[in-house]
Amino acid sequence: MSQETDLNSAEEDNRVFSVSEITRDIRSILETAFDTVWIEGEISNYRVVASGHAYFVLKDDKAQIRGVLFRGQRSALKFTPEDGDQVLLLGRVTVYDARGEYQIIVETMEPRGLGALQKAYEQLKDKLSKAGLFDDAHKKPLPEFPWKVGVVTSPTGAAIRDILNIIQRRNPKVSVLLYPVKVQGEGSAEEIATAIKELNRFPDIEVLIIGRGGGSIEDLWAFNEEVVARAVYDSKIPVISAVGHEIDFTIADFVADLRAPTPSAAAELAVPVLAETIDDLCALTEQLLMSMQDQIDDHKNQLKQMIDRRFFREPRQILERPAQRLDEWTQRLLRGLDQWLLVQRERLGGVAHRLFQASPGKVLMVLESKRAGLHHTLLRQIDSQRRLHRQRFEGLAKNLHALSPLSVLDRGYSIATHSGKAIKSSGEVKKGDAVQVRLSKGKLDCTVDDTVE
Amino acid sequence: MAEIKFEKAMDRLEKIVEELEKGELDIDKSLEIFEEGIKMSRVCSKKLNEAEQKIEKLTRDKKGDLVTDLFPTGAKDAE
Repeated sequence: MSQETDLNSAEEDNRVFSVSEITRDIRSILETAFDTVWIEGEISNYRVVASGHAYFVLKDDKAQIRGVLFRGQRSALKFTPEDGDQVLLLGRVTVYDARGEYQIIVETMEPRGLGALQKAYEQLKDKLSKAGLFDDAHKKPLPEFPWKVGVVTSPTGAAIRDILNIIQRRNPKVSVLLYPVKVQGEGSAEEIATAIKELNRFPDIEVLIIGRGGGSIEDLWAFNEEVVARAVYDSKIPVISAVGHEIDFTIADFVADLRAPTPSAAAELAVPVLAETIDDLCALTEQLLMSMQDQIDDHKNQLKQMIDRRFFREPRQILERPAQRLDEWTQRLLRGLDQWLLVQRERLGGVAHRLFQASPGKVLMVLESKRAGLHHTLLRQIDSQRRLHRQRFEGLAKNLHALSPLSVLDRGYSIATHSGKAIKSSGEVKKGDAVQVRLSKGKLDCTVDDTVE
Repeated sequence: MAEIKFEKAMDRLEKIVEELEKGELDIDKSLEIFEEGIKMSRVCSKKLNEAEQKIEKLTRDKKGDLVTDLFPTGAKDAE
């Protein structure tokens, strides 16, 4: 404490202060007497003015003190103060000269007591829910078989012990990387958030467990802070939150990819039992082999059945049917061939016939036949002509005969010829000439004995 | 690292067994995926044999970098 104003100085006894001066001195004294202090109390008359600054009264059952919360500090608060809230604030004591009032200028404030805490919790939960931090769509599935687990919790305490025990029991091959943090108190939320971010940089960590053992709502408060919620949301590695309470939910629980009621439960959710995994693997492998064996057996059976069939036992029989078919087709082929030949022959016959008709031999034959015919006709004609002539002749002959001088002969006359000429007088011949006497029937060869005149 | 992850190998193995049990594949395809199934089974087996537990703790060294130490698991209530 400085000794700027020596109130015991006799010289100052009669000094007359102005209001401003005394006020300024009072302010000085107060500002130096108190560094920034923590004060606990109840808020009342809380009002925010146009400038964004907030004015209120902090009181307990016996006294009160004015408080100012400037806009900057107000926006940094993790909750919205309301009348009736129990709060813990950090501030500087000072005097507002113009009003002659001493007051606290608030640097930071946080809710205190169940009611206030509950309200802050509801407010933040509402805000983050609306911002989508709790959305199911964002939640990642946990890996089924992680081999490295990251843990964010206190290095002392039951939580880490339980987690390690359970992981070791379920799968002694799983590695654990612990990022030790404070899980309550000043700065714990920031430490937890940092831990989550840092563990995200280890590429082989497959799942994170964040949590702590049980405690009061104030003890668990770090897991209700926005910075932790955002770190969990931003984590690329799936996060299991395991904050001691079976029944209450912290905000981290809502954001996490999975919520476990206790750290032990978290370890169980994170890590499957190795023995079971080995059993599953064996079973699958067994099934694989059996399936394949079944398939092979099936095919073997099929093959065996085929071999057992007649065809394989008596391969000859394979040929029977085809042989029959071959015969049938051959028959049909031959028939067809015959048919074809027939047709061709007919055609040939037809053509040959026509050829023949047109050939010289035939022509000759035809001509010959014609000739013969004509000849025959000729003969017939001649014959008939002859007959006709004969008939005429005979007719004429008869007539002639009828008219013939020789008919006289029939009456007894005769014709004496000499040298072919008819003798009409005896003087034509002489004694001893040959004379032919033609009678009606026959002739007489005579000699003249004597001529008589 | 082109090695398939344990989880993926287990998944694949499961799927292969399902496929074979359905019995709808021809024998060439069956043999092919059977081989793959055996391979997956071996990968899983190998991983199970190789995995080793390490319990580590991160601390900051003097430079402020993160360093891993072995976490004392023997002592149940570590300091």
